[in-house]
Amino acid sequence: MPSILIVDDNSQNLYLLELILKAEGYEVVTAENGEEALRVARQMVPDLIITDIFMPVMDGFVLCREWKKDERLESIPFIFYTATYTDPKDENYALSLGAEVFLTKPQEPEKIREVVREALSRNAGEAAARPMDEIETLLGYSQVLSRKLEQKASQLEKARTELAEISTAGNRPCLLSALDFVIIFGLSILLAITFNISNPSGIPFFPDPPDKVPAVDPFAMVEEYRQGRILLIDAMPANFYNKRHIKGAVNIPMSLFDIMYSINLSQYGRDQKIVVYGNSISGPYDLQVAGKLMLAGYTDVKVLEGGLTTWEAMGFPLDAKGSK
Amino acid sequence: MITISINRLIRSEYLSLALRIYVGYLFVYASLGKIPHPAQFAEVIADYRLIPFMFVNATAILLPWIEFVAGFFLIIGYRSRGSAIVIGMLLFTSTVMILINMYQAAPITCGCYDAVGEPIGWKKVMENTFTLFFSAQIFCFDKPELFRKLGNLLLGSS
Repeated sequence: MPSILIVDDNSQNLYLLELILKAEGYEVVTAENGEEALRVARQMVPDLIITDIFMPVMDGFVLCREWKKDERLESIPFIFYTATYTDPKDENYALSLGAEVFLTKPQEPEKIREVVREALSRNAGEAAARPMDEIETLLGYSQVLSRKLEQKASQLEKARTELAEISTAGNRPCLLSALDFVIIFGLSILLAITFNISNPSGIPFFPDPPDKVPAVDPFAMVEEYRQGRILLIDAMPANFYNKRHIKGAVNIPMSLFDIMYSINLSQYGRDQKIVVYGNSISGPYDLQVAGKLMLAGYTDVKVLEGGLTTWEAMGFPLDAKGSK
Repeated sequence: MITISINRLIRSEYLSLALRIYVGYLFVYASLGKIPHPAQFAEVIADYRLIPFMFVNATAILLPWIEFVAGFFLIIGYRSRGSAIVIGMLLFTSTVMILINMYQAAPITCGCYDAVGEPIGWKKVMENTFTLFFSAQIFCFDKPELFRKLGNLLLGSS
């Protein structure tokens, strides 16, 4: 069976390639760099050589140059198998040195077997390109090396930048600390409580709910309302602007109570039946206004159960602007 | 090239510093108008009709102080990332509350820079959104080394 010399400084790559080729029945000899490969080849003269490029002592390019100079070896097919020099310019240079095949790592075992079969079956001396002269070879070699050097320098710079970023990130405090919130909210609460106590305009943290006022069901009062015997008061502040009232209601928001009271209620007696409506999650406005009316001396003050929403849902009359 | 420059600017810690001072000043200024008048501010909060009656007063007392503390911390660069998050949460909540009231066409005022404030509207929503982006920039790219160095200097450690 044909003998094949494989050259690689990586023992794992060497072992893998050896396994693939031995499985095909080839006799395999290994070397770890170009110099060792030349020495072995001159002793046993293989039928094919597969070599890595990036190796210590003597790299694949120099090995190829020396190989093609040797009269006994020059006709032996030469295959480059590399993971480092993958640029098309590298391939051109490798082939210009006289190599028959240029393969980039990794390749499927089947592909390797096929390439080896083809290389062994043809006349290597005819197939290979004529090697360049000494000056061209050295010039090409220096270009390949400088290109690789630039690539490596760029990779090094990138790695350095990434390392610096990671290092900076490591110095930064963690994304968020619960202590941040404890300090911010704790200090805020402390300042708020102490300032509110000393502030002459301070207010209680939790307001006292307004006194209970008797409530009336819309059904129970609608007849009296139609007869005009009930005065409806809308206590919702927002309704003062958008004028969405029960028909005939007077809008007296708490903030305008004194003015609106003197305008709208001065003509009514203290025994006038009054129903106040309007509240929200944030404000029991109906209770507040009803309480104020009771303080003003009105004796028959009630709040409307369910407010405007229930009234509207039951289909009772609304102001023209309030009707949908 | 322009994209790279913009990207670099957005990630700049110097932009974070400028935004920290701007947003911090904005919140300290806003809080100072509300802190002395909690009752008026409570009425503005109640007008939003989104906070339960029992918590309206507590919110009116606490909220301006949270704004003040977070804004002050942003200016001096202490706990700036936490402060940016707190301010971001305040901005987001207030924007949602404004949008709900705009949808309901409630003619209320925002209570943003003083106890009463200007009417709510798209202008206010845009302002809040921009400030929210500023807070996000501070959170992502601020480097609090300045405060640490100052602390080390004052404490005399290396």
